[in-house]
Amino acid sequence: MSTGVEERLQAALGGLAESAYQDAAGESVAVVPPENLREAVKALKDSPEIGCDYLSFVSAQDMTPRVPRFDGIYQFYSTRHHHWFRLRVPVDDGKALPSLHDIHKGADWHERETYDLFGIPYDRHPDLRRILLTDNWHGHPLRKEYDYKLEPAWALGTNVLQNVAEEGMAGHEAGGDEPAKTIVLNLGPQHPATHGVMRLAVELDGENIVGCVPHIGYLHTGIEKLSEHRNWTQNITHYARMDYLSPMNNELAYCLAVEKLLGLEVPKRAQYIRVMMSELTRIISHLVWLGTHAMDVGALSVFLYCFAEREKILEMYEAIGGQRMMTSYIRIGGVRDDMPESFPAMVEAWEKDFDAQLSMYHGLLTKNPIWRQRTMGIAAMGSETSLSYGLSGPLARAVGIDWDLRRDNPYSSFEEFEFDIPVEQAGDVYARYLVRMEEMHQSRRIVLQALEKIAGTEPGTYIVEDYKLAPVPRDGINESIEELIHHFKYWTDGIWVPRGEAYGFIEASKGELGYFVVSDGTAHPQRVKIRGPSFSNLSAFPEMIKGHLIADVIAAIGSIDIVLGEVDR
Amino acid sequence: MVRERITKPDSSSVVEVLSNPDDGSILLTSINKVIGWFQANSIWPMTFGLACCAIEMMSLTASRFDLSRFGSEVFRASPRQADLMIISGRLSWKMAPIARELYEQMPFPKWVISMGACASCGGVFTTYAIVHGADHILPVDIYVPGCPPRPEALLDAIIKLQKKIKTGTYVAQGLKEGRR
Ligand code: SF4
Repeated sequence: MSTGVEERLQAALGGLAESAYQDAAGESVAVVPPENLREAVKALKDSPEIGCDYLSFVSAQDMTPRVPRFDGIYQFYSTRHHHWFRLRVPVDDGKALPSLHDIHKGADWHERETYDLFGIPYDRHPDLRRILLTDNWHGHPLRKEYDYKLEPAWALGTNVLQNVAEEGMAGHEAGGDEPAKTIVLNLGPQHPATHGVMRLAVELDGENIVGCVPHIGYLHTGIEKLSEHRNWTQNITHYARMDYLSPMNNELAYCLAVEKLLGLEVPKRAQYIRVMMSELTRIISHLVWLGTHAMDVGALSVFLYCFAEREKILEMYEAIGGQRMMTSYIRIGGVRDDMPESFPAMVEAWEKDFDAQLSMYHGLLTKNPIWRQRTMGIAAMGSETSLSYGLSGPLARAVGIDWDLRRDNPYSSFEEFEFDIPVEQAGDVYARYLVRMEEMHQSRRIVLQALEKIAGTEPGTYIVEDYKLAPVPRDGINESIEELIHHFKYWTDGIWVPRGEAYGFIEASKGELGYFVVSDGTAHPQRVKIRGPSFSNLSAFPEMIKGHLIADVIAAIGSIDIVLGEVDR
Repeated sequence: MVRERITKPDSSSVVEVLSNPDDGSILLTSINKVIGWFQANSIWPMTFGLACCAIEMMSLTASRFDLSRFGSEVFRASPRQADLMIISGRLSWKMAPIARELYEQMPFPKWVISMGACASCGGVFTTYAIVHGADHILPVDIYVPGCPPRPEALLDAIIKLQKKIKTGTYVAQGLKEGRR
C-alpha cells in the first residue's frame, strides 16, 4: 500500500474522523464516530483520490471490557486506485449504527449478519431480521460471553416451510377481496439446483418473477466463533472446509493475513508452490461450477467430463497434501511439505490434455443453441449496481469491471507471472460462463510458469526456518534437545501472534476472499471475520432475477457459483 | 418327488435351488428375501447435499467411481421417490427440522447413511450451530468415518447397506408395524 494514504484519508474525511493511521501491518484505518459514519462513507466514495466504490464487508468486533463495547468495522476498496481502507466505529451495547444500505447496496446483508451475530441494530435498515440463525434463536453468538459449544434447546418439529408467505414476502399481500394475483413458490432448501442448502421464496405472476427473497443460514457452522477457541494453526483446518470447492484458496488467504501480522517473509519456493496450488484449485472449483451449471440447464454429459477431469487434479492434491480435498497444506510461513519429485510429471501429464478438454467443453456449449438461449441476456446487471452490491471475481469481470487482485494487489509473488484477465461486457449468464472458461485456460498458463519457477529454487525451502512459527523437521528432533523443546512448544502452545489486525485477501475462484484477523497477542485469534465472495454475490440475486422467468432462476443461480459453506460460514 | 439340493445355501443366497426329476429344477425362496434382493440392488438415494461431503458424494456418482455399477445412480430430488438418505455433511440446527421432515416424507422402507465426521458426531465443528450427530434427530443405519470420506468409503457403506437389506428383515418388520 502506498505511503501517504492516511494523509489523503484524513484530507477526504476532514473533521469527520477522530483519527486516521497506518497500523502495524501497513493498513490504513480511520476511527469515525457513529454520527459521522454516513457522511464519512459518502466522502470516501465521492473523493476522487480515494474513490472507495466497493464495500468489501461490514462487521464488528467485541472489545469487552472496553466501553463502548463494540467496534463496527467497515472494509472498503477502490477499484480505480486499488487500495484498501478500514473504518472503525465505536458503538456501545444497545446503541444503533446508521445503515449504509442506500450508499452501498451490499451493506444490507452484511448489516443483517452483524445484527444477527453481535446484536448491533442498524438504524433505518429496511429489513433488519436475523439472516444466518433462526428467528427464534437466543443470544448473539459472536459476543464474547456466548458459549461456543452451547447446544440450543431447540424444539424440533417446527415446520419451517409454513412461514414462507409471512417471512418471505412481507409487503406483497394482495389487498381486500380481490384474489391474489401472485403466488409464492418455495425453492429449497432441499432442491438440486440451489447447489446446497439455500431457500428462495420466489413470487410469481404466472411464470414471471415479481420478487425473490433468498433465505440462507441452513449451513451456518459458527466457524468465526470457533476460530476464537482454536489456535492459529488449528484454524486452517476449518477454513478449508468453508468454501469446500476451493480448499487451498481459503487456507492461503488466512495464512497471508496471519503472515502480515507476523511480518513474515515466506520463502520463494513456498510462494510459487502456493501460486501453483491456488491456480489448480481455481480450476477444480470452476470445473465443479461448469459441470453442475450445465447439468442444471440440461447438459448432463458436461458434468461427467468435468468430474473426470477434476479427479486428475485431486490426485495431485493427494500427492502433495495427502488428502483428496481437505489437505490443510498451506501453513503459516509456507507449506506443509515440499513438492514431491513426481509432481511435475503429474502436472505435465494433465496439462497436455487439458486444453483439448477445454475446447471440448467449448464445443459442447459455447455455440450450442440451447445453451445460448438459456444463458444469453439472462440475469444481467449493470456495472454500477454490481459494484454497489460488492460483486467481485468473474461476476464483476463479466460486466466490464477490469479488476483482479492477482494483478492489482499482487500477493504471493503473482507480480512475476504472466497471464491475461478476461473481461466481458454483457454481464449476463453467458458472459460469466465465457469469463470462467478463459480463466481456466489462464490458470493452466500460470501453473506451468510456477512449475518452472519452482524448479529454479532450492529444494527443501518450503517453509520459514523459524521454529517458533514452523514445525521442526523430524530429523532435528532426534538430534538436539533444543529442537525437541521447539517441537513440543509448537505443538502444545501453538504460535503466538503479536497484537494487531490485518486483512489478508486473495482473488479466489469466486471473487475477493478475505480474512480479517485480530490478535490480542496470544495463541488464539481475538476475532476472525471471513469475507466470503459468495455472500455478497448472492445478495445481488433478487435484483438480478427480477422480471425473468422462473426457469431462469436455475441458470442464474448456477452462474453466480455460490458455495453455501462460504455464504453461511 | 425326490428333492435334491444342488447348491448349498448360505445366509446371503437369495434362492435355494432344488432339482426336480420330472421337469428340471425348482427355485425356492421366501417373499421377504426376493423383495430384499430387489430393494438392495435398486437403492435410490435422495439428492440431499449439505456440505463438503456432498462433493465427494457427487464424485461417487460421476465418471470415475460410477455408483451405477451398484444400481444406485438414480438420485432423486424428491424424498417421495427415494429410499436412502445420505446425510452428507454438517447438519445445522436450522436445517435439522427440514432434514427430519424430508426423512418423514420418504416412503417405507428407508435407510439413512451418515456420511462424514460432521454428520456422525459434529466432527471438527462442535459449535452452537451444528447438530452434534445426525442421530439426534434421525435413525441412522450406517456411519461412514472420514472428513470427507473418500468416495470408496461411501461405496463401501452402500454395499454394506445392501447386505443389510438383503436379509429381508425390513419388509417383515414394516408389515408387522402396519407400514407400507
Ligand atoms: S465431515 Fe469434514 S468434509 Fe464432511 S462436511 Fe464435515 S467438515 Fe466437511
